[in-house]
Parts: sequence; structure tokens; C-alpha cells
Amino acid sequence: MIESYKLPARVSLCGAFVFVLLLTLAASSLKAQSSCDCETYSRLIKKEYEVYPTVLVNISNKYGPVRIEGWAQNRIRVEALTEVQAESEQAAAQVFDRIKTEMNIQQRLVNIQTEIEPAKTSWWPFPGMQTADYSIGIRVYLPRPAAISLLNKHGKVELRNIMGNISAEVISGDVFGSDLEGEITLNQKDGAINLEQITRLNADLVNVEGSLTSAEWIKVRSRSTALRFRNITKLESETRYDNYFVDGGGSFFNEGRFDEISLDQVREVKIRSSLSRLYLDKIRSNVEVEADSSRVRITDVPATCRKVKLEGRFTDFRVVLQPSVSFRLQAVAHHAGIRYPRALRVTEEIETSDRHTVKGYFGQPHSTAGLVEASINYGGLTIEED
Amino acid sequence: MQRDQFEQFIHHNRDAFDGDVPELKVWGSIRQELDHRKQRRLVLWRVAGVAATVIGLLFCGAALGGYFSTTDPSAIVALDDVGARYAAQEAAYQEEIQQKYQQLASYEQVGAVHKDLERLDATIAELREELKTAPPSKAEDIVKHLLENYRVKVYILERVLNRIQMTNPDVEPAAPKKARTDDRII
Repeated sequence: MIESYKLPARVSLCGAFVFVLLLTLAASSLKAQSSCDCETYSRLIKKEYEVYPTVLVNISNKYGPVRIEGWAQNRIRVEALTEVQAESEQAAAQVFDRIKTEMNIQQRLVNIQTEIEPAKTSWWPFPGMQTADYSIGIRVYLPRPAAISLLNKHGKVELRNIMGNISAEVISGDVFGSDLEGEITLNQKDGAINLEQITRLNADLVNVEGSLTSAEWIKVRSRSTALRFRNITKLESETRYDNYFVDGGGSFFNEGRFDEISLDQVREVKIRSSLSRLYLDKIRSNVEVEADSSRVRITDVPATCRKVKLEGRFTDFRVVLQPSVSFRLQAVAHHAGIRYPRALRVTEEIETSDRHTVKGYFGQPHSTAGLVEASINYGGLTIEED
Repeated sequence: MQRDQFEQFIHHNRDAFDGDVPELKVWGSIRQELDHRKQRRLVLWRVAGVAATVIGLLFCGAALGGYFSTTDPSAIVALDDVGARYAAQEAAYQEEIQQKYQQLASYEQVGAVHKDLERLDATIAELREELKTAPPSKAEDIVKHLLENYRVKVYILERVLNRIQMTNPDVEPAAPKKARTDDRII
């Protein structure tokens, strides 16, 4: 006769729990091991059509690079390369089915759009079908005068040799460009930037780092951005928490807060800033600084500089003139001190309990000499000769 | 007629026929045989039940394992799912941000950065949303951008605090207040 054993209910429950736990761990490790035994599958769509030279090209892409290049032909060539990394061809095909690159090409208007359907959630818990990875790259060759409207998310953008206007929004991606003759309107968040040989740029930048070289006009609104500018004819900026380095160029206009700005050999400077640090070296023609709670250093002021105008509140100014230059000084300080070197020939000095006025000149007393004009409330002004 | 006589014979001699009863041993064997069949059926049912339970548990375990270890980014909602390293960094940033924000609040200078921090929070929320649909290789980039946005928040707070302290070294921060709910930033 066979005896039947009955386990207590609690013991059975514990056993089942342990069993499920072990299986869970086993399934986890199985899945982790198999997470990428992948191959790359690719799909390339190529289209080429004749278009008007001034065709408008709209591009919208995600998860991949976009490269646009101008060429000397009245044709547009679009190449959309989708690459899928998957464990099998069947798995790759499922991903390809989700990704559609729509290309609508007419002579005056071209639309290129990437659409990605959301992944179907599978009831099957085992690995294989859900681990596919993908990227979508778009490459466009177009007539140089073509205008471009571009949106790219999570992928870099490259623009070369284009004459038409460009409007671009780039989220979490780098922007590289050169030889861009039209006006560029750029909205970029999180990424690097490197533009060379451009004409006009109007940019909104957040958390961007890079350089802008050789441009006629640049207008930037930026936040927590670090940029190096070289040879910009006219640079207008509205900044916060930024680090700017400007080498050479024409005029620099800035309105900002909490910045650190270094200018070297710029022709004309006009800054209105608070809680910032400003370093101006060898400014060639004019300086106008209105600063609040800041630190301003203007060094190596050359004889070519016509006027240094300083207005400050709770700001510490230090001006260092090149040796043997002729300069006039007119400074008024309220609740602040003015310090000057022995080389200054004082023509008028009035000091009261809350006001200090100094007038004088360095070098020869001719009226064509440069002028340092300062009006300060609190803080201080120090003039030095190198 | 003959049949009636036979029936009558049995009727009259019934007591004699009933005198022979099978032995108890015979009855015991019959009962044992019947019990044996019943036991076998019971064992078969039990084995089938255990097998069904094992299959059920196997599927549950595999399903749970698959669910918890999934690499599909659509299942990623929090940074914790991407990796403990990132989650630890995020937590460290959160703590640092909270600390510096409170410090700035004590200088009563929160207004200077509030909008910019809110914008960064919006970007962080967008990136988190993006994580749900991004392909795996991009998910890691997105997490890096997320952390970068936290770093920027710290950088902004540090710079503002630094400038305020440099400009007014004598100004003591206001007495620490009990943090209000809207003073908290995430």
C-alpha cells in the first residue's frame, strides 16, 4: 500500500516561493547573457530628383546623424540609412517595420521625415525580440542656394557648403558646419558646436560648448554655455552663467549675469553685466562697461583706444594702460576710492566724506588723447600704467 | 411448469443454500484489490497536479525574471533601471543641489536662478520621457545628458553662490528657515 505524505501548507508555500525566486534569477542571468549577441542589418533608401536651386528642404530625424552638403547641381539626393542591431533577421525586420523614412520630393519643396512607431510590447518574456538597437542616418546633397529647415534629436548635425538660410533645432546633439553663407537660426540644447566660415547666426544655446570662427554677425542667447569666438565682425550676446572667450573681431555687445567673459584685441566693447567677471585685454577702440557687483579688469589699453567709459555699482575696476600712452582721466566715485599712479598729472582732485573726484592726464595733455571716464558707486577704481 | 417446480425447490431449501458463506480472507482480498486501484488513481492525479504546478511556477519565474531584467528601454522609467552607477550619481547630484539651493535660499537669492533651474527641470523631464522609447544605445547617451543637466544645475548654483559671497563677504546668510515644499527642487 502506498502512503501519501501531506506537507504543512506553510512549508509548501515557502518552497514555491524559493522555487520562483531561483527561476527568476535563472531567467535574469539567461537574459543578461543573451542581451547582445547581435548582428547589424541595414536598409538604405536613396532618392535623387531634379529640383529648383532655391528648393526648401524640411528634415526631421531622431536617433542618428544628419549630414547636409551643398553641391553645384540642381538636383537633390537623399540617402536614409537605417541600421538595426538585432539577434536575428526576423527581429531586425520587426524594427525596420516600425521605422519609416518618408520622402516627399517636389521641385520646390522636399520633406524628409523619420517616423518611429512605438515598440509592440510582447507577452513573451524571453529574450530575443526586444533587444534590437537602431539608428537612422540621413545624408542630403542639395543645390547650394537651397533653404533648410531641420529638426534632429539625439544625433549630430553636419552642414557644409550651403548658401541658403538654415533653421535648425538640435536637441542633445552636436552641430558642425562650415562655409554657410545664408542666415542660420539655431536652437541647440546639450551638445557641442563648431561653426566656421559663416555669415550670420542667430542662436539660442543651452549647455553648449564649442567655437564659432569667422562670421559677420552673431547674436547669441545662452545659458551655462562655454564658447570661444574668433574673428566675429559683430557679436551680440545675452548671457547667464556663461564662459566666453573672444579673440579679435569687431564689436562685442553683451548683457548678462553671472558670467565670465574674456576679450582679447576686440575693436569695440559694450557690456552691461552684473555678478560677473570681465577681462578685457588690448581693446583697440572703445570700451563701455556698466557693471554691478562685478570684477572688471581692463589691461594693456593701447594708444589706439579712444574711450574707456566705466559705470559701476559695488564693482571693482582695474585699468592698466600701455606704457607711454597719452590718456585723460575723469573719474567720480561715491562712497568709493580712486587710486592712480604717480605718472598721472592731476589737474583737479576733490575729496569729501562720500565723494572723490579726480581729473588729470597721462603723457601729453592734448585733447585728441584717449579718455578714461568713470562713475562709481561703492566698489573702487584703480588706474595703473604698465 | 417445470420452472415453477425449480423455483419452489429453491424457496423451500433457502436456509440450506445460505449456510455457505465466503471466508473473510476472500472479502479482504477483494477490498485490498479495490483499495489498490483507488490509490493508483490518486497517485496519478497527484503527479499530474505537481507537474502542472511546476510548469506554472516555471512560467511565473521566467516571466518575472524576464520582466525584471528586461533591456527594452520602453520599460525604463527611472535612472535606477539603467544602472546603479548612474542612479548613485543622480542621488548625489540631487543631494548637492538641495544643499546649495537651501544655502542660496538663506541668502534670499533664489529668485535669480529659479526660472533657469525650472527650465533645466523641464529638460530633465523631457529626457526622462525620451528614455521610454529610445533605442538601447541612445538610452545611455540620454542618461549622460540627464546627468549633465544635473551637473549644470549644480554649476549654476555654485557660481551664483560664489558671486554673491565674493561680492558681499560680510553679509551673513539669513537664519536657516524650515524648508517649504516649494523650496524643494528636483
